Amino acid sequence: MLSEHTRQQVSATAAWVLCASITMLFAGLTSAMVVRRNLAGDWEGVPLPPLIWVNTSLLIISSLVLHVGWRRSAWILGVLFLIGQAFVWRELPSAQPGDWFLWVFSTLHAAHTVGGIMALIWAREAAARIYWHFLTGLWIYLMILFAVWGQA
Amino acid sequence: MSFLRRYIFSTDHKVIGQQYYFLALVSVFIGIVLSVAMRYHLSYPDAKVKLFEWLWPDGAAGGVMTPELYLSLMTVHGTIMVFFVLTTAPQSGFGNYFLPLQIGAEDMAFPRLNMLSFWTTFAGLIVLLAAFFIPGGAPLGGWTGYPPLSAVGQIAGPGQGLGVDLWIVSIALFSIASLMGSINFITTIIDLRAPGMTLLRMPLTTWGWFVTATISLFAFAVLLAAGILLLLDRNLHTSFFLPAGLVISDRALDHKGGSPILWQHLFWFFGHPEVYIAILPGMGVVSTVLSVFSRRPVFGYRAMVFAMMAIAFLGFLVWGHHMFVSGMSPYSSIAFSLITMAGGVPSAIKTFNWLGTIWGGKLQLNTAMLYALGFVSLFVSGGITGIFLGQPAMDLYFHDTYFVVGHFHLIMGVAAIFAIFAATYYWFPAMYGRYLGETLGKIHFYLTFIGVYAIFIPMHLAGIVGNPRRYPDFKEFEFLAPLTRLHLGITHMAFFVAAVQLLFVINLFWSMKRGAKAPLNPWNATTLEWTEPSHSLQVNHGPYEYSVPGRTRDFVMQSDE
Repeated sequence: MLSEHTRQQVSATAAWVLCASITMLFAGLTSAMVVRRNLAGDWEGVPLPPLIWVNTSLLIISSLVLHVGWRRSAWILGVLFLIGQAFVWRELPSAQPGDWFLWVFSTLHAAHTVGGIMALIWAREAAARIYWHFLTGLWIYLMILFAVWGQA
Repeated sequence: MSFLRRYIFSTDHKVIGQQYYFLALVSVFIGIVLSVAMRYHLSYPDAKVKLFEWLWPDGAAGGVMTPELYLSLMTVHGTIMVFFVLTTAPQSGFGNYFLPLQIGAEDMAFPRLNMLSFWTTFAGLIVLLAAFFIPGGAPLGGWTGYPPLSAVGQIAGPGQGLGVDLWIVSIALFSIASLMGSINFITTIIDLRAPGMTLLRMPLTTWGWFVTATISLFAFAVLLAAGILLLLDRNLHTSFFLPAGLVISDRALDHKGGSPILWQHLFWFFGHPEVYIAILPGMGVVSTVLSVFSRRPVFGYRAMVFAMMAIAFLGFLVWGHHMFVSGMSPYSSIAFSLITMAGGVPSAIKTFNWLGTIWGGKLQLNTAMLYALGFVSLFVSGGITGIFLGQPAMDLYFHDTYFVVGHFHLIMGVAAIFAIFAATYYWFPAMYGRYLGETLGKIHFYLTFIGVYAIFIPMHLAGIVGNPRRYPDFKEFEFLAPLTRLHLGITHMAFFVAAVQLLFVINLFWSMKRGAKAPLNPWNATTLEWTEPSHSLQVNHGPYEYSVPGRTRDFVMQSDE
């Protein structure tokens, strides 16, 4: 059996490797968005519901409280983020290419966030931290992508 | 421990390795049956075959295969061989079994994740095969699933309905399983090496699995992304891959603004690295086997390691050479072509180092060694034609011909399979404590070796004549009439080689029970899988110390003082 020290170490390594792979998934989709945006002149920008900025703040705060060491508060804020996202989806149109990409990116991010909440509840400290901060960083990247670059 | 926990839902890396191996073995026989059925139809397009009718009552009513059935066999053959055989056996099969042993770890870092990744792979296979049994049948868009036809559903052909959805789900499951496997492999290698097992003391097999896991990690993520978008185009009426103005089967579609070329970029960004996922573990095995049976150190061990990394890196930059005929800018074509040619450098480093390894050695031509030498032969023969196809001007002509079929079967298909055979003969004593039968093994090798060349070299000739690929028969083409006998020969050889593979299966199962007993280290090899498992392993030597001067034995084990 592996010692507790080794277990901490392998789970942290695995978290980094997992983040690399998820980065590639989102990079692939980003490249698709870059291509699709300039393809047919039908890109009308992506109107972001104001609520999405509240959710973004929740996620950033969750990372901050995790940094201070409050794991439970972090995952509770994560759950609130997901509930907020559900309300965003209720308002989200799906008429044109920008909307489709926001749907794809936000649902995939949410799916990974479910995993992140489970990690915060069950996984070893270092791994859970790496993964959760990664998800926050990924979401900030997506918001920049849509707010700055996704507009018409 | 119950039977179920021990053999079915096991978390033991040795059991999981064998599960992967036997999953690949079942898959390869399904793939072979599909290929001989296709060959038979190509040579006897009008023959009525009871068996076809029994297997596919809709696609072969009256015993004659429809063109759609032919294409669905081709699609499933390609998908099953690439994913469930060539990606599964060398990496997940042997990798799971021997990686922990070779680096002195007790098991993989995450045994339960390991079990989950096997059963996800298994689910992927079942979903793929299920496509044969649904209305409309299996998908018929080829293993590359190009839109627009793969994205518009039933109207593009019977199998393009639910069949393609199952195909995408199957590949998505496979991708997720591969990602889980890669996380396990990479973590295990980084964190669980025995004391003294520095990175540059790792056997080249371990290096092969490490580099391959890294490629899988990046490549399968992109395939997954592409698959998600394709599913959305098919089921939720988005237009990622579908342009405006499409008319299919006399129906105008109201999709607009997408691009089928976008799929090609995403697919081949995965697809080209996939070739190396299939071949790199085999390169590791071949390096080891050549070294052991020449009693010589691997020539240029460090160069071999860096060549693997270079191949992996370049593999991510050359996807465009699959798309020369897509209308891409000639400037892009030239860039992709030059990088493709650059890939010849690390490949040549490996080939010359293999020759350097056996040069002046005392060769023991047993079956494992024959298969390793056969691999080198096939790698060179298949690689040379890659230089033809890597040039845009020549690829324009060759692209849709049998030249390509011959090329990728030699280098990716058969070469990787030969590495699997070499690995099976080499590691069988470590797995079952017995030798695989040598006599039957050598017969199997020589017949297969001659047979595969007799199948795939003539395909190059047909390609030079201009014989198109992916056609269910050539009856309508007068200019191909002189090739009828050539195709007949290929068909006969395909049946011959398929039959010869039964020798291997017989040998495998017979030797498990009745093979000659083997000692702990039957080949006098140096790496850790040939030692007693121990908790206090200390590694003091490199992986290939053969014929070391001043020693009583002609080899030094990695764990020796």
